[in-house]
Amino acid sequence: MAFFKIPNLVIILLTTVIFTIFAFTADRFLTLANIENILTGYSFLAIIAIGQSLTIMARGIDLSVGSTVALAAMVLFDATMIFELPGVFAILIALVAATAAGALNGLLIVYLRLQPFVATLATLAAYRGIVYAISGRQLYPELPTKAVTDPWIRWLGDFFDVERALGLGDFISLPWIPISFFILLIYAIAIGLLLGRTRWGLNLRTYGGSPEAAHLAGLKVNRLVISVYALCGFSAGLAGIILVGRFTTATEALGSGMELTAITAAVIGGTRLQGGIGGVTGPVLGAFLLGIILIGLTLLEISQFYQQILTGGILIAAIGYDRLIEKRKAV
Amino acid sequence: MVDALAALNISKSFDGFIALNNLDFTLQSGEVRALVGSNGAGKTTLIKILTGAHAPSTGTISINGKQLPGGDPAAHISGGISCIYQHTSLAPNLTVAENLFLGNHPTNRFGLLDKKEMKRRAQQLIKDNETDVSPNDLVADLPTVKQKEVEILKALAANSSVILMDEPTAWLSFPEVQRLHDTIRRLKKTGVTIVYISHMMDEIFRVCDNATVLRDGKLVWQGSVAETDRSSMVQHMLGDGGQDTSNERNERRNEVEKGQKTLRVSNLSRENLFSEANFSLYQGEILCITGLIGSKRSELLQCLFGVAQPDKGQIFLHGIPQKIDTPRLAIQLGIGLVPEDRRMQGLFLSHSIEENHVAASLGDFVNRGLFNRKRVRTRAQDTIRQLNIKPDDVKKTVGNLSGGNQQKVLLGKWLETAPDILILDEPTVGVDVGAKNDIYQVLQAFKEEGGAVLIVSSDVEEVQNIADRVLVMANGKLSASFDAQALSHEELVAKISGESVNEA
Amino acid sequence: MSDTNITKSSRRALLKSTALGVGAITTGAFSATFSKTARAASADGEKMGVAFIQYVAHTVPAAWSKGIEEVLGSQPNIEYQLLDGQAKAEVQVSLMDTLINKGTRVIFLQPVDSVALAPSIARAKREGIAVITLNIDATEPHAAHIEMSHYYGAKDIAKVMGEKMGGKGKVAILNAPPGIIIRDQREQGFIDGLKEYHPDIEIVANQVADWSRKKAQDVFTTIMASNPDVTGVYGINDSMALGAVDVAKQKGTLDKMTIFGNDGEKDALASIEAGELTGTQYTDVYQQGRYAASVATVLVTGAVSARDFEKQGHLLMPYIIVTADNVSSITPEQRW
Repeated sequence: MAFFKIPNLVIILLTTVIFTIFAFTADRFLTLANIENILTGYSFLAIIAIGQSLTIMARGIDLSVGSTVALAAMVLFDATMIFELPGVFAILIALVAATAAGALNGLLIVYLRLQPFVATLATLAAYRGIVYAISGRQLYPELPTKAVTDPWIRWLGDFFDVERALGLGDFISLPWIPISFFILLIYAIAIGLLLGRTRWGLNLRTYGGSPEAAHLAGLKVNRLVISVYALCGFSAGLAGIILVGRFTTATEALGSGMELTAITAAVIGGTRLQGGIGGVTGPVLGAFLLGIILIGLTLLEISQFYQQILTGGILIAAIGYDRLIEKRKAV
Repeated sequence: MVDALAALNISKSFDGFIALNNLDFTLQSGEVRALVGSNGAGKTTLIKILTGAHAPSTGTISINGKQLPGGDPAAHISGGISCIYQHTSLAPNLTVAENLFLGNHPTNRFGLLDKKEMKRRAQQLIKDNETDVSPNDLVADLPTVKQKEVEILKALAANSSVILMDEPTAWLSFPEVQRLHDTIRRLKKTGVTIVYISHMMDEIFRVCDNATVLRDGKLVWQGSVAETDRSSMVQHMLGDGGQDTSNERNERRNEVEKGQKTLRVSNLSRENLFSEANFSLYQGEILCITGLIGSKRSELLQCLFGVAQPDKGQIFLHGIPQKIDTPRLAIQLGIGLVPEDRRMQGLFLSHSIEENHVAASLGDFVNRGLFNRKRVRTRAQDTIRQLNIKPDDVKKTVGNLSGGNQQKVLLGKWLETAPDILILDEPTVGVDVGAKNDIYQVLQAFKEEGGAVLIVSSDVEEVQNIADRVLVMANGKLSASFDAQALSHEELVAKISGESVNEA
Repeated sequence: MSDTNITKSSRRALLKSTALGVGAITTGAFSATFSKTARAASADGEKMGVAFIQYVAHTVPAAWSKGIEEVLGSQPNIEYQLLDGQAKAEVQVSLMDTLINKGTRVIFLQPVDSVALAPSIARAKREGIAVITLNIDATEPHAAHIEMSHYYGAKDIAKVMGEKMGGKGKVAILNAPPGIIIRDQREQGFIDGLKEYHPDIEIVANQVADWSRKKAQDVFTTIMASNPDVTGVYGINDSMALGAVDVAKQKGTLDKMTIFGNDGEKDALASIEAGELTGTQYTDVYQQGRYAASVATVLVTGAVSARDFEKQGHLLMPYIIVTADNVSSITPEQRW
């Protein structure tokens, strides 16, 4: 039993094993460029997965994260391209919009007593509709082909040259670390503290473990649930602005289908679908594990259709494993 | 002297249904008060109002003269009322220490949780109350008994002066009950006021000072338990129509002749759980397996129903050896199991009575691929009448029924499969006296029609009431069977506690 | 716009005679501008990677890929791979990153978004990888862009359609949703064409039908209800035009109608042969793939580094306006 108690041990082992396998089998897998690709391609997903894991811990789910990513991206695009606001303000407005979208999910769940699945399925469609409606690319004919130039926003998609910063450029080569990875690190530490060291985090774990216990202990459950969804929206917003930095534009279809990938990452990372158990490290590792697998398979030239089947298979395996542990405990 | 708890003129109605009618409920400091009543008497509503889960329609609640707002759980807890519920209200994924201070965790000057202080206070509380747990234990890993003790510690951690205990012994074995009662007596000395809600008459007479009896949302009797007796208490609870039928049944018991052997278990073992279990079950008898909680009786039943597999040994049905590897097969072979945790394992709580009723026998209601709803309804209505289920509406959601009625629905579901053998695991835990009698009557009728009944029960009184033969299980070993009636209450308790089982 | 001269002169050329080599020759026109600093030629026997990232699985990219494979399959040192962008910019960007890391020599790209893929294209260029876009251009200059002739094709459709209608009448446009350059080019070409050749023809309706035959049926039914005197329809793609055919057939007004589609897919050609659809703009999409592949062949074997591109090559595909008169000239092998 002790084996299962070390947090994230399984996912750490799994990631290491799979990484090693690809390092030996896939040509050009173990290159600096590939490490950069994995970090760039999956840091934003890890951020969404952290947010998603919070809602799952609260016995819910947020299917609207993909649309919220696009919403934040489009608000940012409009703010900088149409209203020509300075990047910092544009970023702030985009994050506020995403947080509000998340909070609205929470309000629907708490006050209309909708199932999280139903409420966020509805807002998944609604937020996507808003994205099309406010898209500056459709309102102004010259904008679809114009790139965002604001240095603040472009910085989000940039890289940090570790070697040069450390003055080691002459001795070793290190991958250039994307700014998005640093954002992920800071965000993960912040949420980790929030979960582990504050009343809010403990209240969330209580609610997830037993909503009845939380209610009976007099916790302000409604406020808690709304804050969880707001934070999930904020995470999606963070991912959205990073993607604008990287793509130098916001597409209307941005993030569609991302909810499934984020849920998969959260669940592989040990977030229990029955609620109450989860953290930050797990979803982050889960997201990168997915990235390692998908990029590794592409390098091995394995068809993407199989990759999609495999992603589904991994999700099922992760849930199955979760159930297995649960069963062992019950005996 | 100011009342420790004064709930005055309390009324509560839901959609026109009056659950509580102008009730006065006052307690003195250090008093242990029993709150009794059958299903729908209003106990649950009163508890919910006292804890702040519901706001009363009229009336006021005060603790030591200080009035509480009503309908605000947090204010009631900080005001000094805590409740220990029948079903655990701890978060299983958290540690003992984290649970003890739910909603009121110590923080340091940065607003972050002070885990050290939390553990220190938890350790202190555990020590003061001589509880055998560690602050770092995960609640999910603790046995039910210890979870109850943690809940009491939690109430003390919140500085409660009034503690409500709703069926606190429902999942406890006899020595554990005694231990709990010792705790109650100690709390009483420190001036804590306790409301003891229970269906177990002997416990009430053992530990409570006074009793309040509710019926139909009204107070029908209140007074010192020393001035009344068991049967008049039951009389109060059930009203004019009620009577304690246990003696009557005792007389009937021996009239039924032993029928044919239907189930035989030979050398059944499962590693680390139980070993070498041997017994037979006959048609037309009720066989009880009793023992302490944790004596692995439920695990034995799981093997009989195909939920788990034995490592060794055989199960014979009507003399034929059977390998029962799925519950589905068990049902096909004519076995029904009413499990221990009915909320988790037995019922679809969000579904109606009729849907639950046919859940184990769906095939019987399908004709040429079509589901015969009308027949489902009539069958469910029959059962409601037969088992006296309240409310008598097949469309009611099971999750909203009282414990006793849920148990009846579950029993009805298995009777619908027309089994040869009915296995029940703790069938009357959390069930009030009235419903208990209804359940006993149905089991009696089933047995008289030639059915075989196997019951696991920790309730000594129950075992003596209904069993034709008794087996005692201790540490995974079964004793030989004996006639429960031949033993006195004390002798049976002694056997259960393991004093004379060694010879078996 | 200097490339348009080439296209204008060649567009009447019979497609049948457009040999494989033509693509390579055309390519030569701009490959001459490449600088001489060439990428080191790869070691003997080493395979050179070429990949195509499609927008999403669909008949057009499938036909391109078939054309590409036909050409590249004859070159043993080239390894070709088709990748699916799943209609998502983030997927395409990630695939670009992976291909760049792999050292792929040439990437064909049908970008989901002209701007979002631009940084990836810039990166590919820095690594000396040539990017050839198909149909949808990117804002970052790259090796070559090969597209169907949307604007001029639509203008020619307007001309032929007006002739069939006798130079007068009312027409409706079944349009794609806004935000896609192809839509704007075709729409503008059609409007300009009517203005130039048939100023008496009036456009009375211009409605969005989402590229879809089913949607077009509903949209055209409402158009007919409010404008019963419409005699001409232009569908921005064939599916929408065929939707209008369905409605006209059902109302029994098909013989009075002139309906044109665009693209020239198999179903549209069959419908023209059946005497239902009046005509469409046909582009040999297989040929477009072959063109792209021959450009790639030059880039791979010519050992030219993408870093040295100063000017982007731009190819407009030749096309014909197909009606019942000339539909038989398109052989079964050219139908997609």
